Amino acid sequence: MDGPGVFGQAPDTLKIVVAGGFGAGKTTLVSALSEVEALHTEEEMTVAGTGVDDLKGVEAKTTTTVALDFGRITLDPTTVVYLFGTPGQRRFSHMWAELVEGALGAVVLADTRRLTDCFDVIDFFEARRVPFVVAVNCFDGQRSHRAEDVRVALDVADPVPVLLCDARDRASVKEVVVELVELVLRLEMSGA
Amino acid sequence: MIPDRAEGPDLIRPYALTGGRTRPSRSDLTLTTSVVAVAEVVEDDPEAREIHALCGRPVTVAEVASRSGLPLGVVRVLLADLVDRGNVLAHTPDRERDRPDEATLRAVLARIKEL
Ligand SMILES: Nc1nc2c(ncn2[C@@H]2O[C@H](COP(=O)(O)OP(=O)(O)O)[C@@H](O)[C@H]2O)c(=O)[nH]1
Ligand SMILES: [Mg+2]
Repeated sequence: MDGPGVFGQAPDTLKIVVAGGFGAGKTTLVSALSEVEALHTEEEMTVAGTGVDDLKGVEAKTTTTVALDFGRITLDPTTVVYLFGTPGQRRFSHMWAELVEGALGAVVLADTRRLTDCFDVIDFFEARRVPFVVAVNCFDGQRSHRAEDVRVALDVADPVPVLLCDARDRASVKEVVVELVELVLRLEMSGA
Repeated sequence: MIPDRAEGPDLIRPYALTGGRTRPSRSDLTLTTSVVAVAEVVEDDPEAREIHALCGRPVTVAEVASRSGLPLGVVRVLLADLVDRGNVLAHTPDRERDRPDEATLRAVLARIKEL
């Protein structure tokens, strides 16, 4: 695409939302598949001073960003996938509505140290019928977690895939995205 | 990059760039809407010029916001003005409205596996 002349053939865009608490590994996951750009949203900036996040369990992370990050993956000249990361706590819900609009689906990135961070966004995706998978980011020493335990703890329904992942690992992140697209495909074929 | 504008929690200054407007004049500029500059900007407005310059090739609204360093809401207001004035063309992809069909999903799956 070199200019206005070909603008009529702008590529199809598939949007995937990646939601999870601070430090869950959203930026890491997006950067495993693409370059990451940060996007400031004024909404997040206005709430930035209104609450102090409970950083218990993620002391290793000294700075957090409330900016949205996004990555762009060009699958072919006509198909581009955008990954948008967003914090999973209710106070960011004003962003979720826009992000899920027309989205293919979502990845809920769960940090087993702070599973409660996912509750609000899971409720939201369920209510909006946004197809989602739960990816449990396996931080060091936590590989003993079983996906099924997380499913029970998060109380997500059976058709929702729950899988373990390593957000730093490209192959692992690819698997998560594949799982999501396969879920959407199953829903499409079942006429849901 | 417009330096420092998006730093800090103070939103009053960014919205000064939009004349205090927090809502764009049009609602069709989604995060993945493609925008491209088509006509020169005549106004002597540095932010409008900067945004316009970032649209030198087709890019998404998300990319324009990211690269300008301005908050998304401010960029949307400024971009909407540019579209209204005919300086920028906007194209919202069909995927924003229609779920991809089975064939598209299968093609996407195959491509992702090849990544
Ligand atoms: N050991 C380990 N560290 C990770 C993993 N994923 C992310 N991290 C680290 O955890 C921190 C938070 O990750 P980040 O992607 O910034 O989280 P975000 O706040 O959700 O964007 C960073 O220091 C990452 O390097 C993982 O799978 N294993
Ligand atoms: Mg992050």
